[in-house]
Amino acid sequence: MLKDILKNILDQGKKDILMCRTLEELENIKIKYLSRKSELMSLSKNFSQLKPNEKKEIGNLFNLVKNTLIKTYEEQKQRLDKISINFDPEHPGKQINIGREHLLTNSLVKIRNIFINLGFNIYDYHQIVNEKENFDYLNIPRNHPARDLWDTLWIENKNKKSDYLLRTHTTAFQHYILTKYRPPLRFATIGKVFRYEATDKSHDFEFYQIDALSLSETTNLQNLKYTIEKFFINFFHKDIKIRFRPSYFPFVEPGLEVDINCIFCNNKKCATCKFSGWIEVAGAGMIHPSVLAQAKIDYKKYRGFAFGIGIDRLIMLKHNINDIRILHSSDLRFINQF
Amino acid sequence: MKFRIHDLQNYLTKKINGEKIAQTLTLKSFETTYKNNVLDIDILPNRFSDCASFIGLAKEISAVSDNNVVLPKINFLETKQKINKNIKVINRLQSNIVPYYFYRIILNINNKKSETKLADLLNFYGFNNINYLVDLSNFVMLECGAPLHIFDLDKIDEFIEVRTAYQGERFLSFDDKEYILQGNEIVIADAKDILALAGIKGGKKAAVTLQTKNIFIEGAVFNPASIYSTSKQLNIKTEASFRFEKGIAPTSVIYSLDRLTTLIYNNLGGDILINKNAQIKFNDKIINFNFEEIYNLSGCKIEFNEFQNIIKKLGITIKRNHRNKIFQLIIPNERLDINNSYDIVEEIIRIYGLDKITPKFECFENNISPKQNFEFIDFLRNFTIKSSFTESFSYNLISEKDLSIFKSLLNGKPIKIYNPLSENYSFFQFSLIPNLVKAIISNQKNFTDIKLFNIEKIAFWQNNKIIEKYSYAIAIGKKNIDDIFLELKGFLNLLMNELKIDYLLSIQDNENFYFAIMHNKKNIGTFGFLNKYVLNLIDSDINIGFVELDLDLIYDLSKKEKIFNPLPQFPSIIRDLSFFINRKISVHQIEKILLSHKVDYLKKIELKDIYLPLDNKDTKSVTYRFYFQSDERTLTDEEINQCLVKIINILKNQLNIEIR
Ligand SMILES: [Zn+2]
Repeated sequence: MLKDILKNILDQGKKDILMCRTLEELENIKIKYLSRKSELMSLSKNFSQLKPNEKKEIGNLFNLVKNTLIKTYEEQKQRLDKISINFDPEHPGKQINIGREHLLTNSLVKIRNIFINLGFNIYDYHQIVNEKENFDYLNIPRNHPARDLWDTLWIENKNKKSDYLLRTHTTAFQHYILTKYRPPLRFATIGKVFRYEATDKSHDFEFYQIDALSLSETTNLQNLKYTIEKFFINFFHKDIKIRFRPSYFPFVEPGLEVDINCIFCNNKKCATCKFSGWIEVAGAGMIHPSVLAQAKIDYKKYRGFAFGIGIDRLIMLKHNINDIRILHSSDLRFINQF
Repeated sequence: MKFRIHDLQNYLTKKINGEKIAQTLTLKSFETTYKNNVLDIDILPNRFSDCASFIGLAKEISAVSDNNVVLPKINFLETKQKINKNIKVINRLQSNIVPYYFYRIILNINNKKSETKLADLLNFYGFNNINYLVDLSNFVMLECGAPLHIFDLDKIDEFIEVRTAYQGERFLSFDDKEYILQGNEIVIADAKDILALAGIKGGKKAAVTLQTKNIFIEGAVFNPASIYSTSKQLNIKTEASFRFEKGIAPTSVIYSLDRLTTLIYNNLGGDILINKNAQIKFNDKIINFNFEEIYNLSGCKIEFNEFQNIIKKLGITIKRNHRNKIFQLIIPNERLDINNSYDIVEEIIRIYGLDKITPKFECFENNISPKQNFEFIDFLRNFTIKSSFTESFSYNLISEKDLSIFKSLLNGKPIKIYNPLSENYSFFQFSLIPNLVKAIISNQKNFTDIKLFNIEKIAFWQNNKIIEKYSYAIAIGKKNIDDIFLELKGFLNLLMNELKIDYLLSIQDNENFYFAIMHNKKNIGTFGFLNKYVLNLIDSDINIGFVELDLDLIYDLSKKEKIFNPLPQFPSIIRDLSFFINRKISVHQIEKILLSHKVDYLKKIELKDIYLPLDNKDTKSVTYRFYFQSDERTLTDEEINQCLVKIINILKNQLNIEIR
């Protein structure tokens, strides 16, 4: 009986001691098995009632159990001593100062890479362009009400309004590309555009756009839809669906508005999508034949698509930023979050 | 534009379901919302001419849904009496400025106040009730789309003339406002005065009142660009100008004129003079269309039957079938937006359904590779971030104050904005420093040790040309200016070493503490600090230093590809040497002298420490670390001691140092 109990204590005790992972645990186990109030020690009080021959046998066994447990405890203690650290594990450690990318440029680089993967050449174009590149070549002549869609900041020269302006859309790169390179081609440009516009939560007078175009003998609206859809899937890392709606931009025909399904509510309708299930994200279409003609491209032979996307709002949607002025700030409390 | 469902219902045979038609219009025509029996429709600018009216929109609804249009009846009788009350009308302008000028004369009308139903309708669409005649003409604009103008015939002196204004000519509008004209505006005038600013606003002189008996109704087409520029110039926006600047089809004008005549005749009576002028027949608008174009542009395979159904709904008819699927199509005259085969494909594909376009990858080899500096910019960004600088954002526009503070960084003439949003944004940045400095200042209440950088465009005038290019700049803001210097210098060394560009700093602007960063006598950038005066001016509590580099120049100078250097086989041995030296001697001088003498096995020297003793103002203590290495064997202590002695002798002889 007593023998069995002792053997059990030995087995269980050894196991428990070896299971300990911290010194604190180990000390608690030591109290459980080896303190004066432990089961083992309280057994020794009963030894006096045993017969002499039993007394000797049990006594030996008791000592064996006790010594083995002490030895196991010492060994485990040594083991734990080696791996335990003297430092306060809750200490935050030394502060490491690192530099950070601005969320905006980080996103611009990602977007650039998506377009490279879609087979586009990326071309960086001027921010200061002439009136023709920004308007006339794009089918927006002087004194055309369409010009009201783009409130323009003009450059002054010799105290007068010059022909130069801060590009109001990245589409201003189109004529240059169409005259410099021959089809088939795919080009995209990413960068800042400027508007004469009051600033508020969702508008700023400087913001970012991407413009892309593809020109070949076979380019069509299916290819346009593919490119835009793939871009949004890669940008949001979500299974995005897009839809086209009729729209009007002087430099494309058909002119299309592009919506993506609301990434917040999955078409269940929320405040972000104004309870429509869709968010308007881009303008697109097939390049207008007269835009091609102005660039001396045979518009009977070649067809192209073009689209433009405002980038700031996409970044704001993706990262839940509700004020464009925060995105356009150098406030380190903002930058350091990304 | 808002439309009440029941106003549209009058022109359609089947009942309109507001909710449903709003969805259909959104997907096939214009963004539309529906609420309380009202459709709010964002009519596209190029569809204003045919859709911004009850009838126009009813036609659009019938094209996109299962419904049919009923047009109001035109029924009036011209008087058979010979009345000598005709007026001479002279159009002095070319047909590209005023292509059509139609009119109709009605006599012996009993004008009165409008009845409630008409008054209510006009109020909903934002018009005031003037009198029956004016109200009817506004109603016809809403119903048929063309703005017409009614003059009181008895107030017109001698004749009606369409001409441009004289410079400085005055015009008094019906609402008692006086305008002084510049001379390029189209006006409607009589022998003495301007009666109306064509297509924009009516005048006081011949305005219709309740007493008006005899009228002259004008229905014209004016050049949209002229109307647009006059309305902009005089800052008058009216419902009429808004429509004219988007273009009005002459057929709509004739129809509107007939409709208004009908309504006046039936409601106010009167004798309608016979008028050949308003009985013109227009030619059909014909476009040659290749059926294949639908597939070419959209990728959709539309059956010929379906094509026929769609064009029928659009009111387009096939005049003649050609071989090879080329058709002559007759386009409704009011569709000013349809002018080529692209436009026709747009019409067909939106009615067919834009949702039926399936995404498809187009495969072709894109073998153009323009050379631009993206990779280098990425490298610079990453390198600078690794060196614990954070990227800031900057607007590219700066203020006049920025210009005056940082003028010495300008290399040419500044680019001024002609119509700036505010004084704060009146120049294009010619350097990234003004905005970086602003970024540091805006952060200094929350942070103490600020290290920022930026890569953006700068621009300026040079020889009457605009130069626009990328610039690269870093800036540090913190209390201790010596720390700033050492950090900036350390980073600049690291960067230039990485790019394999030698450089020197030379004093550029003593007053501002600016140094030019020179490479082979070429200025490639600026290294500088803001002085106390400037710091005060911009409210900075901390010191600010910066480096700005010409990105294009350092890109050209930098080594593009790195070549592997074999690893040394034998260990390098390091010895430090501390000595006192005259405070005026720069570390650059020390290094130049050491490098000009050939010391065996000396591979590298490194400045470890400079310390200025407080008790001696003429001297400083400098510690250098020397790296010795042989390519053949491990060097002995003795060999290295010999080298060190040689170094000490050089420094003693040439720079009069004292070993510490
Ligand atoms: Zn939503």
